[in-house]
Amino acid sequence: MDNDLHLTQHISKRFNEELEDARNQVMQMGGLVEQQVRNGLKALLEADTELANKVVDLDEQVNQLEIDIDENCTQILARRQPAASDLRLMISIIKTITDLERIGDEAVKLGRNALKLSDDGKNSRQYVELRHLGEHVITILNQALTAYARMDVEDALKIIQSDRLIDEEFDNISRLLITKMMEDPREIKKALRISWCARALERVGDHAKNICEYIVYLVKGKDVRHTSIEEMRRQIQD
Amino acid sequence: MSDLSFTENLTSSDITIEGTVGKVVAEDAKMSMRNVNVFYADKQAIKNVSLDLARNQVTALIGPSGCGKSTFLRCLNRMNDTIPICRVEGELLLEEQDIYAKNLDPVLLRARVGMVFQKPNPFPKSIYDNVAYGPKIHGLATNKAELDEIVISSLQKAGLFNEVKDRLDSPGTGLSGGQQQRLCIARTIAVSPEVILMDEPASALDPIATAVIEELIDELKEKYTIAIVTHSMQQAARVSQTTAYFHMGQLVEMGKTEQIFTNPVHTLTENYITGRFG
Repeated sequence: MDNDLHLTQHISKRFNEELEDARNQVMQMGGLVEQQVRNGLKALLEADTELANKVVDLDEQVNQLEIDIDENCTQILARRQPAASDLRLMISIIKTITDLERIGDEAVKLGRNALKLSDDGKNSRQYVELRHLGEHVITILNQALTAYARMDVEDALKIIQSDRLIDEEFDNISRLLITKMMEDPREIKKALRISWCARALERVGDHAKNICEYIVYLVKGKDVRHTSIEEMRRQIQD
Repeated sequence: MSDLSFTENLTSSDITIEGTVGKVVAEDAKMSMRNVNVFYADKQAIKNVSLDLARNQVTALIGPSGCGKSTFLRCLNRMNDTIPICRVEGELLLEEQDIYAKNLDPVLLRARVGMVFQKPNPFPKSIYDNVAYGPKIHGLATNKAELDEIVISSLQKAGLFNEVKDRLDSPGTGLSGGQQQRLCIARTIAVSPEVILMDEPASALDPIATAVIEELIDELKEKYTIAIVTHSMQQAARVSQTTAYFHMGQLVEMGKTEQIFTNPVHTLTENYITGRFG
């Protein structure tokens, strides 16, 4: 089977539309949470409380989309009893939106911490590492959503592979923060907040990686979760 | 790919069949068919099909109308012998025995390889006589008590006994559709077959009667080897362990049911089970 899943070639036109709609809704939700993370990071780095509030408020819309998409998928499963690639599409959508919703939750954490830091009269401007990590994570999330839209397994694998770099960056930030806390205990409260933000960004990377694993499942029918990158490549080539 | 080589290719739209993908050879085969070709006069209905029926398993044959799945099923107990213009070529073995051997009596073969049809077709006789008919003509019972036992145990295995035990003398045609079909299954079981062929056994039944038949199929596979032709993909997915997809007389793909319905290899299989244009 090629990468194109021929979503629009069913004998039932209505079924084509239902699958297209479900997939488009996932894209829409992906776009929203990407924006949420982007704004969350910006609010944090620029101590923008207005933007931080927006990030927190947007979560309601993301949650509602998750509920709507789940309902649509339930209807499709009940009425159409999809099989093969259609079934895999349903499963991958249901799983993907769970990860997207959690990415939204992580973005909210960024927003809330931005507000708390601002309340304490502090900001995170001096943390260049946090900016690096955040931008890296946003790039990966964006790539994962693009790979999902294109159903591109090769890109998905590259993204899965690059998650390791995010983990390394997160470890670096943690070390840096520990040093700062040891140097000046008055910084502990702020450093902890920054650490939670770094942790939230790192989790966004994990969720993006999960989405890439669902892409592999959707296109290739192989469940590559909890395997090494070499094992993934081997399975895909089988 | 199977280890059997196929030379004939067939093109439908822009998708080509090259032999059969998947595993057609069973480790413990009850029946083995190799390079089977079937002709109705000049028209070829089955093209070089090879597959095994695994012992004590349910094998589902699926495919669009006219793909040859019923024709193939009917070869397995020589039901096609009744059609004068039909010619069957190839090797068809039941436990290593050639079922098309000249010295083999098709009537005895059909006792070993029983068949259940789409429409329940009980004889216009009592429920008891419907089931007793086969054992009587094959001389399987020496006295009335033995015959009674065969009838009762067959009705029990078919899951019908409790519903009809008080009216075994009533006509079989008076039962509901689902009950009639189970009566036909009891009639098939009564002659102790080794293989049961089912040609859309539940397509004329409502969902409840269908569920009862499917549950029965699941129980029957403990004792018998079963091949079922069905138009209902969900039914094939529910009852079978192996699925074979036929298309225009060829076996396109065969494999474990769990794989065929989640990740089929051939595009034609994918198109059929997902309802796409083939």
